[in-house]
Amino acid sequence: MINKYQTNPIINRRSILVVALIVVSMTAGNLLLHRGDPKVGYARYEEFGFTLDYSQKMTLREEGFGGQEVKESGGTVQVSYQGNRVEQYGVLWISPMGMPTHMRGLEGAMEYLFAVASMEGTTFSDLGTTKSTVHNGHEMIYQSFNLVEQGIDVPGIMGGVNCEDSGQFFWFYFIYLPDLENPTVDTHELEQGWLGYLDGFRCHV
Amino acid sequence: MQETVQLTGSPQKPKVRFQFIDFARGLVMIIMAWDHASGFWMETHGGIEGIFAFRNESLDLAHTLARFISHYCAPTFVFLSGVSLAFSVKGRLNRGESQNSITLHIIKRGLILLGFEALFVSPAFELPSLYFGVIAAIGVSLIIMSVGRRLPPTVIFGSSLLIILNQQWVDLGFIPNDPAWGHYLRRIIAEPGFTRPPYFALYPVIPWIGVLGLGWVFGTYLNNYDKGRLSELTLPIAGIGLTSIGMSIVVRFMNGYGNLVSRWSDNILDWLYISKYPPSIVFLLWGLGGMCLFFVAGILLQERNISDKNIVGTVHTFGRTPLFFYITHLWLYRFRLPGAPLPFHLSMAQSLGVWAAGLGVLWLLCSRYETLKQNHPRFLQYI
Repeated sequence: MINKYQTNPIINRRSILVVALIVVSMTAGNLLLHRGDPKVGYARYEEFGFTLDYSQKMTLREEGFGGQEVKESGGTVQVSYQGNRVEQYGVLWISPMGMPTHMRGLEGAMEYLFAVASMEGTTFSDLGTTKSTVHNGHEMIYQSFNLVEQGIDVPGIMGGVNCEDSGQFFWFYFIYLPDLENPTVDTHELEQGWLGYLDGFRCHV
Repeated sequence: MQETVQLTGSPQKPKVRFQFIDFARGLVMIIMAWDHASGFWMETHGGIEGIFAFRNESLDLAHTLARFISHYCAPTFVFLSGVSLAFSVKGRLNRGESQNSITLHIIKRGLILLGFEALFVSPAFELPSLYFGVIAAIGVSLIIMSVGRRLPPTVIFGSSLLIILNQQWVDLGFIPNDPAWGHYLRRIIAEPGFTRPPYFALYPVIPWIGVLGLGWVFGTYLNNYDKGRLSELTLPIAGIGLTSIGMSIVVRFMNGYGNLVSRWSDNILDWLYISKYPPSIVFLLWGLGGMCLFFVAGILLQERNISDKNIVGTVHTFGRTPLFFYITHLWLYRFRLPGAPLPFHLSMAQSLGVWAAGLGVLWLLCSRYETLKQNHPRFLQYI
């Protein structure tokens, strides 16, 4: 009886090694397969030629232009924090086919978008100078702005890319006001916030 | 030491019970009683960690810790169900029962657990009878293990680890979510939630069956272990426990794989908000690591022949009557009929008093039930 106990058939070095090898390889394989998944705490919106990872602490809403449903030719996806501060970002897109011919470039498209937003009822109090950068291999131009919301100036940044592969113009915006009682925001903080959320956006190739 | 249930060896040579198992189980039952007592009576109580991606900001540190302490319970409870299954199967085989008869017995036990969940547990929580809780998860896992147990322990060990470590990638997209059956099935298999009454589930079979599988392997190991060398288990189990707890802290710090809910900041409350529904790897490492330390404490007590007639004996009594304790404590602490509204709330200190008093009553009831079961083993074998 004692001999039987001394060589426990359940756990021995060989079986542990084999099990560990199989479990580690399969789990590592899954980690590799899923390395492009949104990070923990984030969900993914994937439609209309782009991908947007957004925090599950925030709420996502789709909206079309002019009261219409969101569709391939144009719309917005807004992700906002529900609370006593303004923190919202999102993606807007318009098919170039719906734009005047002379505006089918990045800068023209940006100008067109601000015009569309104004027609939709948004009031802009201040527009900054246009700067350029590169996002995921696409040239991107961006511009700071203030929009007026219930008499308060809410600062924001909007950047646009021409996603050649899908043939769409996309704009990624961020508006931010951390304290409604004290409606000022540091420009650097605003830009860092925009860049941080921009990491979760990419247009499809 | 008292001679109780024979677990290993020949029928002519009765063996002592692994009391450290009863100790660990009894301890988590006591902690669980606190969680349920406070849940029934306190106005503010933590819960449903993982169903929401972020913590309830109204919970302060004291309330968060009051809930967090209960994270040892479910992993230990489920793991020890696997251990008990291994002990029970070995005992029945030793008594000459056939494999088919044992399989049938386990299936019956699983079905009875499902019945208990619907009839006694769900109403205690004011939940629909289709609610799939921990008792139901154990029931379904037992039914699967009634056949699965015939696989070599190494295969069960590997499969259980695979299930636990890869659970976050289970994709049930092939099961339609619109029809009620599809929705409920997905909830039960791996997607806990309660968005569509009455199809509520908090303890999905994946990954809990993996935890039960690990318990089965440990129980099978103990079945072949010489109890005279029990103290030799202390160091390895303590090592596994401490490593497990350490790994849970590392995985939480990394804030990626194995978390399921994000650590949104370095605030201690965000650190402590770990996903239980479904149980993340962080949660299981923490819970099972703690269980190992309870084992060590139990072994040290068993080695010192601590008498059964003191507080340790009370813990053992609870550990030997888990299902009876579970059903009874819910209704004892709830202390009102199904549907009856809560007459008033209690503070945390008052809830602690209720919990302690309830443990006294439960000890009396469990002791009497244990005697009753010894006198009527056939009639009460499933409880």
